[in-house]
Amino acid sequence: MRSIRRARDLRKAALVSLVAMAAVCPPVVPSAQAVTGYAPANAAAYADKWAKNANTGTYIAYSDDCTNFVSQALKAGGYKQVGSFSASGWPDTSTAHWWVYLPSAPSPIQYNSNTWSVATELRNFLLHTGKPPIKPVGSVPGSTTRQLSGIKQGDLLWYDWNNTGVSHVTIQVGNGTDPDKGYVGNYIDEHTSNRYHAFWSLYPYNSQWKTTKIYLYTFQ
Amino acid sequence: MSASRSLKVLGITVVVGLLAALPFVLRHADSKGATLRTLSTAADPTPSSDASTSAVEQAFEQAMVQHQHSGVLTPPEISQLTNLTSLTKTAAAALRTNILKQVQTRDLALTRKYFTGSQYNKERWSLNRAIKAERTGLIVADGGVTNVDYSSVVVDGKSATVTAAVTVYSELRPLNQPAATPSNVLLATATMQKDILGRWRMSKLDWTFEPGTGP
Repeated sequence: MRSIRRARDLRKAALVSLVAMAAVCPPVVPSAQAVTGYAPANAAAYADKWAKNANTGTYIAYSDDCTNFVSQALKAGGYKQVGSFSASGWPDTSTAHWWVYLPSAPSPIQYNSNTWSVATELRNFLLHTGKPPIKPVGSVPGSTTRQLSGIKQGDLLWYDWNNTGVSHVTIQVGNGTDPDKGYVGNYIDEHTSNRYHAFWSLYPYNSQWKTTKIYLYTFQ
Repeated sequence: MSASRSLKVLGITVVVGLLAALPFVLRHADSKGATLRTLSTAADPTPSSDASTSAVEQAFEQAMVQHQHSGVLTPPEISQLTNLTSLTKTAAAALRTNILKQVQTRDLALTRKYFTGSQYNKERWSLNRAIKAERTGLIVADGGVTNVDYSSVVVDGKSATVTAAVTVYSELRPLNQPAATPSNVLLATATMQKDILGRWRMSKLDWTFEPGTGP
C-alpha cells in the first residue's frame, strides 16, 4: 500500500514539476523558420536595403527586375535553393527548381532558373516545391485602400494588371506610412519601379487600378 | 467633347439639416471641372499620314481617353448647388446614387461609341469595377491621356493595328487615404475595326507598363 501511494506521490510531484517548468519556460514549438531556415525579418531587411538601388555588386538588374529582387530577398532570408547551374543546366525552365549562379560575384554575370526571375514561375515553385510553401490568402481589387490582414512580414503579393495573368511580385516588409504617398497600412518593397515601403496595393501609383487584381500569399 | 461630358443633376430636393453625406457633394463641387486634359501627341513618325491613318489615330486616342476616363465622377454644376446648404442623409444618398447612375449611363454610351467586340466587354467590366469602387468610398476625380507616341499605324482595309506608348493618368480621392494622381506609360498594341458607317472603333487592346514607369 505504501509503495503504491509513494508511486502516486512521485507521479504527482513530477506533474507539479512539469507545470512549474512550463510556467518558467515557454513551450518550444518548432516554427516554419526553425524547420526551413526562412527568416522573414532577414528577407525584409535585405529588401529594405536594396529597394531603391539594385544590388548590382552581386546580382545583375533586369529591366523587369521584380522577381529577381524578391528572389534575392528570399535568399537573404535563408530560403533554400533547389537545383543548381551545374546540376540543372541552363536555361532551366523547371518550376521545381529555384536557383541563382553567380560565377565570380561580384560580377555582372548571373545565371538563374526561370523561377528566380519570372513572377508566375516563382509562384508555381513556392506553391508546389518550395519549403516552406506559400498558401493563398485571397485576392483583392486594385482599388483597395485599406489595411491588409492575413499576411505578415516576408509574405508575397502578386499583381495581375489587366486580367491577363500575374506579371509582378512584391514582398511585404512592414506596416506604417508610405514615405512617398502618405498612405497608411501594410507596405512593400519592389523593383522594376524601385520603391521602398510603398503602400501594398500600389493604388496611388497605378493608373490601371480598375483592371488590377492582387493575389496575397503567406508562408506556411 | 468636354461639354458633352458635363453631368446634369436634376430634381434634387434641397432639405435643410445636417447631413453625413454633404461632404461628398461639396468635394465634387470643389473639384476641378470635368474637362479632359489637353491631349498632346508626339511627332508622328508614321510614313503615311493619309486620311485613313489620321482617322485611325484619332479613334485610337479617343478610345484611350475613354479607357482612362471611364468611371470619373463629374461634379454637379455649381449653379445647381448654389442654394444648397445641406441635405438630409437620405437625400444625399439619393443624390449619390443618381450621380453614379448618370456616370454609368454616360460611360456605357461612350464605351459603345469607341469600342467594339471583346474590348467593349472588357471596358464595360472595367467601368463596373470603377462604379463598385465608388460605392465603397473611392472617388475617381479625373482620368485621361497626356501623350501618345506612335510606333506604327498600319491600315489594311477595314482593319488597322496601332502600336504606341501612351502616357495615361488617373486622379483619385479615397475617403480614408490621401489623394493620388498616378501616371504610367502603357506600351499599347490595339486593333481597330471600321464599321459599316465608316467609324473606327477599338476591338482589342493589349498593353504592358513601360519598364520603370509602372506601379
